[in-house]
Amino acid sequence: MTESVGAASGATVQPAQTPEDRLKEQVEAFVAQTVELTDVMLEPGRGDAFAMLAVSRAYYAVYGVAVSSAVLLGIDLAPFQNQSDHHIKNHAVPHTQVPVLASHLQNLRHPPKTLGPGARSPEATATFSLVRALQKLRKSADYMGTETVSAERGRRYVDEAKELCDQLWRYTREHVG
Amino acid sequence: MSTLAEGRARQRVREATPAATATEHDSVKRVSAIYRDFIVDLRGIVQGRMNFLVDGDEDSIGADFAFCLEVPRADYERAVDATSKLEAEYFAKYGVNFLVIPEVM
Repeated sequence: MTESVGAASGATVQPAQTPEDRLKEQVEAFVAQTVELTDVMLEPGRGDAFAMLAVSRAYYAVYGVAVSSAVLLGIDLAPFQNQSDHHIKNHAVPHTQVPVLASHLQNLRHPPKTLGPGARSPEATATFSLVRALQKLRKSADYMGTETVSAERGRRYVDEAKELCDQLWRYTREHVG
Repeated sequence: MSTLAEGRARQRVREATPAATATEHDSVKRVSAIYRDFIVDLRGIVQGRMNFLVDGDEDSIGADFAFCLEVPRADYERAVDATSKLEAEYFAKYGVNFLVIPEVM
């Protein structure tokens, strides 16, 4: 009704935003905020104080990009959800499966030389390793235990996480627009 | 290891194994061998006291085998890297999802 009134009055009619478009916007905004926040957290002079939190934030960006990419690319999340009602209901995956999902997506970008069930490319294996490390540091950051990470190591993890987000998201946008 | 975790691991090994050798009996033996090899490899790269994470723990949902590993503070960063690389190798090779979470003693 609103659209027809707008059209009749000559106003520009904005097409309704689809859930997919909203998801894309949200992911891109979260990643952009992550880049800004982690840059501040890891500024020279801040020492190691915020490095763990920066890595944690970068992990959640990877989480969001991986799950959203899977949803947009039409990948069934069920095999990654381990029949967990909470994760099924929320279109999410348990933390232990984020490295599996991210490496699955990386396997699409860099297919393994030999095909077959469970075959992984070296890039997919490296992605698993990176995301698993981020996942472990995220847990330590969430629980605020005695674990710490140096600013130097934190910067390396955050840079690699940003690069991974960029790769996976670019692949997704190339395929879904 | 719990029955549930063992069952999941056998399923993953079956998926990563050529069909001709993927009988139930073979997969049980293979999971035991893979588990032993993983622990030996883990002990070769990081020392520390290990505790099992129980099925249903938020951070172990979906892992086939999950542990906490108590390490000295100075070894924490290296332990995160080294265990993650080892887990990635075992996942690529056998499809088994090990999870070792280093914690500072």
